[in-house]
Amino acid sequence: MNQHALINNSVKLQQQDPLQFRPAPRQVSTIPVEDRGRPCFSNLQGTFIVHLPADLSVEEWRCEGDFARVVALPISDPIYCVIDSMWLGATGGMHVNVLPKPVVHLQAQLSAVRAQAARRVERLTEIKANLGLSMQTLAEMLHVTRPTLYKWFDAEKLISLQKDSVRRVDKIEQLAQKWRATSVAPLGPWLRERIDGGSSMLDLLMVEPLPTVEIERAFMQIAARIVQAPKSRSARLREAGFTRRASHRSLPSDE
Amino acid sequence: MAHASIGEQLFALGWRGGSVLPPELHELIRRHLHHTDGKAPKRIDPNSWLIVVSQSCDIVVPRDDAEPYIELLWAHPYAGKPRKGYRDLRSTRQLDFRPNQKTFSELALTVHATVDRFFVPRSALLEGRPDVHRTLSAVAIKRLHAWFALRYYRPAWPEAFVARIQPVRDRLLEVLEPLTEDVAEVRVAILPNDRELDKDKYIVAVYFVVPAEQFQNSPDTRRLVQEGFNKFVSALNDCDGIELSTDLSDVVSGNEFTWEQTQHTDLWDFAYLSPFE
Repeated sequence: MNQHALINNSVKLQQQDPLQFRPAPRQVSTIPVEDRGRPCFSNLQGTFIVHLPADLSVEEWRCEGDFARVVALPISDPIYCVIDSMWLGATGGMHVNVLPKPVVHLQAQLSAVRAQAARRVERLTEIKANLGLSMQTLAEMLHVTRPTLYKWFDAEKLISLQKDSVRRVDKIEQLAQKWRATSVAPLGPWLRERIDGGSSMLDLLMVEPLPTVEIERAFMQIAARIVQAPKSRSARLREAGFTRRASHRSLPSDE
Repeated sequence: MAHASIGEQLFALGWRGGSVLPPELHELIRRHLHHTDGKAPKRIDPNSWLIVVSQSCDIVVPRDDAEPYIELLWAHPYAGKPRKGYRDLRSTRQLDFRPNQKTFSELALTVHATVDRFFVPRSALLEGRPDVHRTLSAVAIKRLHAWFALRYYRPAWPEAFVARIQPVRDRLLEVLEPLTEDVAEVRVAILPNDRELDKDKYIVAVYFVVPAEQFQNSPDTRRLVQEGFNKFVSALNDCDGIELSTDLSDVVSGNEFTWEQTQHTDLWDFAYLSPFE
């Protein structure tokens, strides 16, 4: 819905005025935006700035009456015009037709950045969980330092990854999903295993670009080895029925 | 028949560890409840619970001079649910708890570890029997005893370290809420762990240790724990004067976390973050 707004120039002329403008007789005020916006005068010579509420945009603007001659149209929010001349005893005002606009508020922008950071952490978490890697190994695979990776894992850090890093994360994410489809076990302990007596899994995962076909073949071999691996001592203890005594931390919660 | 000892009499009356004094005994017991100023309270709210927290064996020991006193805990009704920071032994100073979820499902009590503890002559209990309506559940009794024990065996983390953690304590609580003991055990190494630092940073290595079986077989558990780990270290990073060791901290399988490493780390327990008194 269109909204008509008259910005009365009496407000601006109360400011210190390099052009020595005088207040014009106040017009009948029908300025819905004035309550929400704040017209004011800039000390920039000949520039009039109208601060509009963030949810409104300018549809049209003009001078009316014996007010001033505007030689430039408003450009952005806050809008401004360049006044060519203004004379003593000027009357009239400025009319601004405004429209509600879908404004991207600063808060909304911040929310978008936060959501992006949360998504980044979510994806990295998924990769690390699917592959069952240590921070050190994942940092090596992503070709970054460990402290840098910690920053990536921190949703409070509103950072953007370099293009190369984004590409590498994408690729490794795909591989992590493939490993997840192959085995639920962590890949971490098997990274240094030789594949066909040649490169290790870690060697393959360090290469740029990633040799995906070779890596997927290696996944199959390692998955087969995991199935045949001897049971750990803790697994044997568990299977034999040994359990630890419950501590006070095992008490059911009061909520 | 020989004269029954005080212990036998108390046993016959039904007094045990965790027994609650009936309101009829409150007035009698009131004069024994001395605060630090030496004065007894003017009245005892009949809705408050005076709980015998001595061990049962100490209550019924035959000779009076062997155990002349029993220990009472004065628990006050708390309007609302047990508070997050005080329930489930998260503070060694204050405990909010439910005395009996079956018989008093809505009732929460709160106690302070020093202000609400009193020693009264054991003979005072000869004047009556335990309250038959207000009884503590077995879990509540265990929790109270564990709370007392915790106060004494907590590791002495530097007070300056504890103070620096306080601003993010609630965030950390929230993070660890879904990570029960069988999902992950949080262990920390603090450097230095025995000195109060003024300006220097404490270096902290954090480990989220996942039971080997779950780490081995459940990517979902690994993800859940990793999410907790991410938030935990993010909160620590927001603490002034605490630096996370990124070289050492990680989510690890219980298979990989060795006995040696347990010797270099403490179990993370929110109770250890209670300020000293």
